[in-house]
Amino acid sequence: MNAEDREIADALKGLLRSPVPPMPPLERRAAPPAAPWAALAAAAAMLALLGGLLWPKAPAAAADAKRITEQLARLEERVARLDHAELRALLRREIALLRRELSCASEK
Amino acid sequence: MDREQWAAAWWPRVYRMALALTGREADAEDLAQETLVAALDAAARFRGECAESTWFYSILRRLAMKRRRPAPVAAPAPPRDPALEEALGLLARLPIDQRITAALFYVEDMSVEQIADALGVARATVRWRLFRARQKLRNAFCREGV
Repeated sequence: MNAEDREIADALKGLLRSPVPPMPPLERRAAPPAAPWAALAAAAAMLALLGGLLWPKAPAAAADAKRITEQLARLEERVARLDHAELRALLRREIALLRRELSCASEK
Repeated sequence: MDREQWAAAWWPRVYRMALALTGREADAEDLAQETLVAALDAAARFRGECAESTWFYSILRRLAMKRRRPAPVAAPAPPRDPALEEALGLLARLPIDQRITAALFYVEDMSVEQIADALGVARATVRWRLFRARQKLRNAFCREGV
């Protein structure tokens, strides 16, 4: 090691002055639970169904609106039985949006 | 020596090297912890073909490269020892590959061969990185009158 290297080493060895915190517990952090495939497939099917419900919203007559409301209520019951909390929250939001859409369409 | 003791023996060195790479105590603690967890998971595969330090630093370097992302807004750092502040300031001037190479060479006193093994690069690459790091650090010394 020449003089220049020694100078650099002396400066960088200031790193050794760093206080070392106590070692934290060495446990692998739990990964967030993955959505089970069946739940994802069910969610996809429900979203497709919800999309279908949205499509004819403009000409929805009173009878249609009642039928759709019932379907949404049934869907909501199924969503409540899902194990995956994130999925449940997502689908509940979608259902709430659809209810609002339906209500707007019915008022027209 | 059980697994916890083994990890505890390495903790200070791995933490300091993580600090050299990240420049921030909180990030260094996370990175060092992640490194030791990964090392313990992979301990069964360590066959002693290289020095333990080479093996630890290869894991540290891989995880550090994976973690590279824009730094979030930093919390105010606690006051540091001036020598430590200077060392971190100098290392921060180097790109990450030169930073780890310089830290392993100058702080850990590892040879070019050991660094090449730890980083998975050719010896010539290590020499080149050291050359570039030296140039930049020399410039920093000149500018700051260190």
